[in-house]
Amino acid sequence: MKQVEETLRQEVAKLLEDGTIDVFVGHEAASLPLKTSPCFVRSPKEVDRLVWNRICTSNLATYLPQLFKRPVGLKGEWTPPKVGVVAKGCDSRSIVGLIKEKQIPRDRLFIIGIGCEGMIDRHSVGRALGVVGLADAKVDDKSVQVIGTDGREKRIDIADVLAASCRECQHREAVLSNLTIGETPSSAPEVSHYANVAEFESKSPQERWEHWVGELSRCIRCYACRQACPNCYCEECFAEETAPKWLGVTTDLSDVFVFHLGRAFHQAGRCVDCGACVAACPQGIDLRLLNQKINKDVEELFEAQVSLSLEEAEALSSFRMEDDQSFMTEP
Amino acid sequence: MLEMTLDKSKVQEFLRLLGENRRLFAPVKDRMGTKFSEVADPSLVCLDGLNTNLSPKEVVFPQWETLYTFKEDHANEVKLAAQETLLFGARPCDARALGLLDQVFTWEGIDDPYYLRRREKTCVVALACNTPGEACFCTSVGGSPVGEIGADVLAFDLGEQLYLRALTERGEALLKEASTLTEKATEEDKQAVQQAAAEAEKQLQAIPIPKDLAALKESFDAEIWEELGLKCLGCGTCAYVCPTCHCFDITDETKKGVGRRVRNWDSCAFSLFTLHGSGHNPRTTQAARYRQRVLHKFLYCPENFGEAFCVGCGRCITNCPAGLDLRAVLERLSSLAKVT
Repeated sequence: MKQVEETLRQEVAKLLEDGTIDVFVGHEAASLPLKTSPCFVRSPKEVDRLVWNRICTSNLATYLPQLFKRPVGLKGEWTPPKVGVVAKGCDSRSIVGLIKEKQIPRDRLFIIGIGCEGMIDRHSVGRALGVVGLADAKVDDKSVQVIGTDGREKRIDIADVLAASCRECQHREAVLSNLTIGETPSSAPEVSHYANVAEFESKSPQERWEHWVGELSRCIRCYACRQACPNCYCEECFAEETAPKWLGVTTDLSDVFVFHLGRAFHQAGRCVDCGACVAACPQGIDLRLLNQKINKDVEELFEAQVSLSLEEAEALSSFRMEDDQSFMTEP
Repeated sequence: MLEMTLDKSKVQEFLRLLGENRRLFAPVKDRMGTKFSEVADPSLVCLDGLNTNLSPKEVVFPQWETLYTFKEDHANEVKLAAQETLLFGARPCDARALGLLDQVFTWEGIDDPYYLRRREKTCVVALACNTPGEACFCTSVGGSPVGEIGADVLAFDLGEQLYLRALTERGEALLKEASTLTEKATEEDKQAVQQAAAEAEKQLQAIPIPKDLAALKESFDAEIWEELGLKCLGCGTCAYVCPTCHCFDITDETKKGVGRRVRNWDSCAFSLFTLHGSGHNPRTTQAARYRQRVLHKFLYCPENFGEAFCVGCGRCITNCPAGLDLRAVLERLSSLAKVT
């Protein structure tokens, strides 16, 4: 992994030096253990800020559209920058989605793909520690060695703290890239796809209701899920529209439900299951289950997966005569 | 002032007794560590965690509340009565934050009755910290792991027992109410507390805090905000987990002629926060919004209230989904101040 990081830095330095790109979007170390922060590198001198490790959890596609927006108040000619970005499988699929939805231009992007064995979920490490904080952590190929703020040490198997999305990830390499570095990742895990959804679907309506009441009563309406999501680029979210006003501003269950269900519907046929919403949630709500249910429906109804290539039309933005129409009701 | 000790095996009994005619809020275990919760069963109270994931400000300043209701052409006031409340186990930083909120909600002689009705009935038992948390920096912003501001009673965990020091008349009355369960603190206890306090303060990291307000003003156009703005996702996590953030919005929610006026938390990181009715938005970029959050705490609040509105609890740091660290920002601002 150290070697991949070194290669990444060298490649980015070259790209910045020869003018292929103006800015590179990558990950840098954050001050707390097991945390990284997105970074924007503009000079070959800064490439040592870039890191590549098992905690590059953020979906960097989220940070791209802002770079292609004309600066507010700027008069006259403006050429959008040439942007480089490092992409795991999920980031690259989100990039494909954003290109197709015309939020970012393919011809101004240079994508460096890196195969991914899955990223560590900081919340899971926190849960393994219990009520104490995380003072320090060391990661190797197989385990995470953590020290709690109470001074106690613990070795955790990395497989036990991988993000849920990563455990089931079927696309571990970038689906779109200008350059790939690092080794081919090991083959996708043999986890039954949508096992969590199937289990949930087997519950009674009452149990399902209780599950979501429990989860969503934790929501504090901070919108971290929405802001971390590459698909949530709307200038004005339905949640905040005032004319018409679709939902209230409170943390009453009815308001929270409308927000999360509305957001999930807007993800239909678009969610790549990157897990950014789950990682961002300060309350540890499992929003993935909601999105996975919709992904499963799209996959079953239209035999389609989301954002695997630029060429293929997306299930919900195209029409085929053989599309499932069982949902239609008589007029 | 009254100084007592309470055997830790009697904490539940202590809380049960005091909770008889009060609402009791205390830390309980949660999937994110610990959280403040209204507790009916004191056996659930967990004092082993440090900072709860969310601050206890919600006890006195709820995320949302109805200011009044209305129907067609007349309004109905909501009753302002609040129940006696015991906030037990808040850390000194959180107690201090309540002291700061008090200043805001009574600013320039204008009392906020919605805030004060709860605050005036809330007795705060703060629990001093023996060891700091992963992102704590209270001593750098004028606080202390054994600080007394905002609390009515300060408690110390001495291993086998809790030492309780009354700080206000309300705190003294509270301790007297439970006097059957406590013992008078001995000289030995007091010495142990002093030692624990010294130990705790030593462990905290010192970070530079920009205090030159003129230099901070100069930083308004500094380059650092640009990159911070690119990193900042524009969510409200930092503001909502912060014990001192107090900005709110007021909206009317109506349905077929019936409605309510609701006050709810708001965050300066949201793009809609400063959107005018005209469509104009004075803070068009995330850089401007992030700058507002930092300068409000470290420049405008010192100007208005004489102190920074940050108690160093570190929640914004541990919870930021973009890995932004306020300590690093403050360090950069401090070095900026030195240059200019």
